[in-house]
Amino acid sequence: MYILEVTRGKKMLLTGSILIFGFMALAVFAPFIAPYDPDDVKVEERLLPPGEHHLMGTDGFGRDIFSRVVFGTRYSLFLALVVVSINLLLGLMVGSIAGYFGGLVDELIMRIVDILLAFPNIILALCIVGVLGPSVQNLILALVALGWVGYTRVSRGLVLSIKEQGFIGAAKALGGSNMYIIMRHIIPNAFPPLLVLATLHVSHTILSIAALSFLGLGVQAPTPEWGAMLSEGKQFIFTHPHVMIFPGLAITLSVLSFNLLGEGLRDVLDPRAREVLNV
Amino acid sequence: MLLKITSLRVYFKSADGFVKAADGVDLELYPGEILGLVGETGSGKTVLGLAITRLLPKTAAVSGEVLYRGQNLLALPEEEMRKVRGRQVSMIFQNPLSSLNPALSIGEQIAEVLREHQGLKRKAAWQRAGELLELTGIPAKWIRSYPHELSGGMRQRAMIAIGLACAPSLLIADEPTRGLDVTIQVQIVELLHAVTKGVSPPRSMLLITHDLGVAAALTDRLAVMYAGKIVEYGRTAEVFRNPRHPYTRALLDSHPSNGLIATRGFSPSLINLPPGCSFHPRCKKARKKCAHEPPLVQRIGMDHGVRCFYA
Repeated sequence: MYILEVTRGKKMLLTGSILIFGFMALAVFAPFIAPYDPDDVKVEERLLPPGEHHLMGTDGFGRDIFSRVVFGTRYSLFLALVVVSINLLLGLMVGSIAGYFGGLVDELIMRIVDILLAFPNIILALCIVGVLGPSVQNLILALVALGWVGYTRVSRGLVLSIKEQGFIGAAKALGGSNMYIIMRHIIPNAFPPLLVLATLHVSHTILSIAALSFLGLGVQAPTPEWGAMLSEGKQFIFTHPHVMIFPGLAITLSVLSFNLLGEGLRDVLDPRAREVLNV
Repeated sequence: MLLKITSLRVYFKSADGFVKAADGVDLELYPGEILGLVGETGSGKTVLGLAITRLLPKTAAVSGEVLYRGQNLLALPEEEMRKVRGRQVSMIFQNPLSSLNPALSIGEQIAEVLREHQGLKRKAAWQRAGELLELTGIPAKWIRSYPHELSGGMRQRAMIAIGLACAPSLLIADEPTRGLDVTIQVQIVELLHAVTKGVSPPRSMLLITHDLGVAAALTDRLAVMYAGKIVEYGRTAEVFRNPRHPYTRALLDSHPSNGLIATRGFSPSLINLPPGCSFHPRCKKARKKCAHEPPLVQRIGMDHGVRCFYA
C-alpha cells in the first residue's frame, strides 16, 4: 500500500512503468500480437504504405513492419537489460571493494577506471566489435567493457559515505567479516541510488545497441532489431519514410519510458533530490 | 578473572601532538560482574571500550595488554579477533538509530548475525531472532519492522538483542541510555540487568556511562576516569558513600540530588595535559606537589584505590 500511495502523485513513474510494462508484454507475447511472420518476405507486397492489412506498412522486402517492430522489442529490451544488469553488478562489486578497503586496492581500481573513462565509448565499442566480429555476444562485451566503470565510480563514492556510518562499526563490533559487511550492510544501502542510475542507463544502452546495429556492428541484418531496421530503411528515407519512422518511434518511445521510470524512481526513492534539482 | 587490562595506552597522532585518550589504564573485570566506567565527555571512556575490541581506527597507537581469559586480545591476529567479537565480547552502542542498518529489518539484522556466526539455517535464525526480540521486550510480531519504524527505546532494545545474539560472556555497553527519556532509561537499565545478572551463569558487562544514576543502579564496581586515567576505583556502594578522589567527589556533588555543584574549570586538552596530577588545576585540595609529580594509585582498603596524594 505504501508504494501505491507514493506513486499516486508521481505521474512520471506511473507513465514510465505502464509503457515499459507494455513493451515487456509486446516482447513476451510477440508471436501472438504480430499478425505476420517478421521474416516472411513477399516481394509483391514491398514498400506498402501503412494501411488496413499492414498497420505500419511493409519494408523493401515486403515484410510487415509492425510485426518486425513487435519482435524487435525482444532484442532491444532484452539486450539493454542484460548489458545494464552486468554493468550494475560488476560496477557495484568492484566499486564496493575499492571504497571499502581503500588504500592500494582503491588506487589501483580507480586508476584503471580513470583510464577506461578516458576512452570514447562508442569508438571503443566499434573497435571491439570490429576486431572480434559482429555478433550478439561481442555487442554485449563491447557495451560492458566500458559500461561498468561509471557504476564503479558511483558505488565507490556511495560506499565511502556508507562505511563511515554507525551500523558498519556495529557490524564490525559483532565480528562481521569484510565480505559479510559488504554483502549485507553496504550493498543494500548503496543499491537504491544505483538502481536509478541503471534505469536511466537502460535508455542510453538501447540507443547504443541501435547505433551499433545501424552501423552493421550489432545485431545482424535479417534479425528484426530496431537499429538494424533503421539501417535497412535508410535507402527509402525520401521515398518511403514509414520504413524508418516506425522503428525510430519505437526506439524513441522505449528510451522515453525508461527515462520517465528513472526520474520517477529517483523522486520516490529520494524526495529531496527533486527539490534540489528543481530550484 | 575475565578481563584484565594492564597499562593500556591509546594515543592518536594529530597535527598538534599526541592525543592521549588512554594513558596507562589498569582495570580488572571478574566473571558475572558489572563494572561501571564513569567520567565526563572526552575522558577516554569510549576509546577504552573500542580498544578492548580493537575497533579503533588504524591511526590509533595502542600499547599495553588486554587479557581476556588469559589471552592478549591486542596480540591476536585480525581473523582470530573477529571470532572474539560478537561471540565472546559484544558491544552495544549509543545512538541505536545510526548503529542499526536502515536497509534491513531488525529481524534480518539479528538473523544475519546468527547465520554468520553460528551457521544457523534461515528458518532457525528467524526463529531465534524472534525469541531474542521477545527476550528484550519487543513483541516477536515486530520482527519485520525497520529501524525507522521503532521508537528510541525499541531501537535500543533491538540493539541489545543483536548484541546478545551469540551469547557473549562480556557485554560492553557504551552509553546505552543516552538520548532516551528517563522512563525509558529505567526500562533499559532493567533490561540490561536482566540480561546480565538475570541469566545463569551471570554475564559480565562493562558499562560506559556519564550517568551516575545508571551506574549506581547497575554496577557492582565503579572506575572513575579523568583525562585518560583511572583516578578511583572500588565497589560502587563504597565509592558513592566514601568518594576519596577530589574528582569523584566533584562528580558526585555535581549531581542534582547533591546540590548541582559545578566544578570550576574545564576538562584539560588531551594533547596538552597539565604536569603532575591532571586534575590539579581544578582541584580544591591541590598543593605544590600535585603540580610536579604525577600521583600513583594508592590502595586504601579492600579493592578500593585512588590516584591522589591526599586522598
